Amino acid sequence: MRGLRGAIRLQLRIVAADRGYLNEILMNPFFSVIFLGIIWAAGRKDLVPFAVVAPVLITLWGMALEISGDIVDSDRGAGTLEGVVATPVGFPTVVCGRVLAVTVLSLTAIVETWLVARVGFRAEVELHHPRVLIVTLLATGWAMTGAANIMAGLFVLARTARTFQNTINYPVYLLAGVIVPISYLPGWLRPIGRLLFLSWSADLLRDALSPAPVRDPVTRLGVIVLLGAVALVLGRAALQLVLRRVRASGTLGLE
Amino acid sequence: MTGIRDDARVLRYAALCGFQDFAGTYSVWSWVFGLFLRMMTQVAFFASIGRLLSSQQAVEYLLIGNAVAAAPIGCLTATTATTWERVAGTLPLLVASPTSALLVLMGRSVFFMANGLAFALGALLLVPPLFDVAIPPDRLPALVALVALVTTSTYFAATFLGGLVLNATSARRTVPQVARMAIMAFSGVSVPRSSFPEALSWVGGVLPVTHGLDGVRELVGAGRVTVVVGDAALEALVGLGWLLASLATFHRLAAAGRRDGSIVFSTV
Repeated sequence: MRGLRGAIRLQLRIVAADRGYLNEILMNPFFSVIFLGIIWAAGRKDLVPFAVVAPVLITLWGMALEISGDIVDSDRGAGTLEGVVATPVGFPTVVCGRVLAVTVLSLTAIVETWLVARVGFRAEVELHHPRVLIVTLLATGWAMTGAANIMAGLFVLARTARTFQNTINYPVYLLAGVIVPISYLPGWLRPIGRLLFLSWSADLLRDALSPAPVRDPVTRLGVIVLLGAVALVLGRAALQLVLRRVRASGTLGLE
Repeated sequence: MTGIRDDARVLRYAALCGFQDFAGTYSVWSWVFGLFLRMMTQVAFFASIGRLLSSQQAVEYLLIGNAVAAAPIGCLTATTATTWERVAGTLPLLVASPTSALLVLMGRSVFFMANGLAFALGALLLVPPLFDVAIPPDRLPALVALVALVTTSTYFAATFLGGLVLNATSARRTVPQVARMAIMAFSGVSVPRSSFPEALSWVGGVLPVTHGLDGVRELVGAGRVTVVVGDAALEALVGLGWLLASLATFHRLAAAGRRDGSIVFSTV
């Protein structure tokens, strides 16, 4: 736990020193303007929940992806990766702590989006099921940390994976239905979307903002937590495996 | 005549250098299945919002807008590329050399124009059939010309921003990202400019892409030649404005750098 707390503190200090880490948070109001503007121009104010959930999830995902790639890359560049890996606290724990820190930070996206909706569009964002919203956000943060672990493992293994870091955003947004539910996808793509925890998060968050009763919230939350746990276990295993390999081959710090 | 030949030579070598940088980062495989595929998915993502709205008109609006916006998204990396010389510590040598530093910096990043153009044309050709949107084949040559114009004016804006981030290299990733999002939000890419307050609509009018995109929409729609030509002229005018701003910024940077020696220092 001490290692985890230390990693969280470290990441918060890094973010305070380098504002570049906050890019995704800076982009959130633009996404909010775009999505709300689209539904406003179409006269579909009933779709406000869709337009406010999407920018929040995009910010959360973007931040986790950015940091998971950067932890490895920046440590490698600074020559500290070997030191971090050699410490008694496991590298996966460090990754978890650092991603957790940015995930919590990126929750400011909720405030940003709400402000754009209220001030910019005078939209009523009604919170019909607050408990569902809060628990879904917590579960999403948990699952995001797990997903970031898998990506960090990939980035250690193959530096070229960094090339793909920014390329998986939109395929994930599309497949997970962050704004357009996956029921609009072709039938053969829907099962893939259902394997992404973001699709469950997006559906539940939209339901939390809609007046209708939320159908089967416990099971759906359970799926998010389960997918997060699977990602975390796989991610930690992948990181351990990769670290063993690069230790053996002596290529840990090589660019 | 010799001056032009020399400038062309400098530009060619700078472009070759930039291409090698790009090829060092991306292989053909990682470009096609990474960047290019990502852009196609981005256009499909926004076009699919039209289906959520149950409106084929909205699908077409979002698809065309975001396909054309793929050009500036690819092109604005030129802003980041402008700082590479400073990061490498070679900028003082360029400023001291007899040739224009701007020429070299532009040459090194000119490849991103081709990158943006490929994204936009790829999106305009490959994504519409997936959403039952038709692009009249006889208008393709004019479409290519308009998208090339949009790419060029965006490139000039990107080099202007590059001049700004040369003095603040820590913002080299943030600035082009904000520019991309501003274009996507206020240039009529996804939301008609008329939906915004007048001030924001005016801002959209001086951004690259806006008028060229209006021209593209007219071209694939009613196709009135005079309207398309008018929009193209406005886009060219905006591009020229960004070029002049870019020249002024670089001139001021080089002059100030020579005077106080600050050109040597990087803020990285």
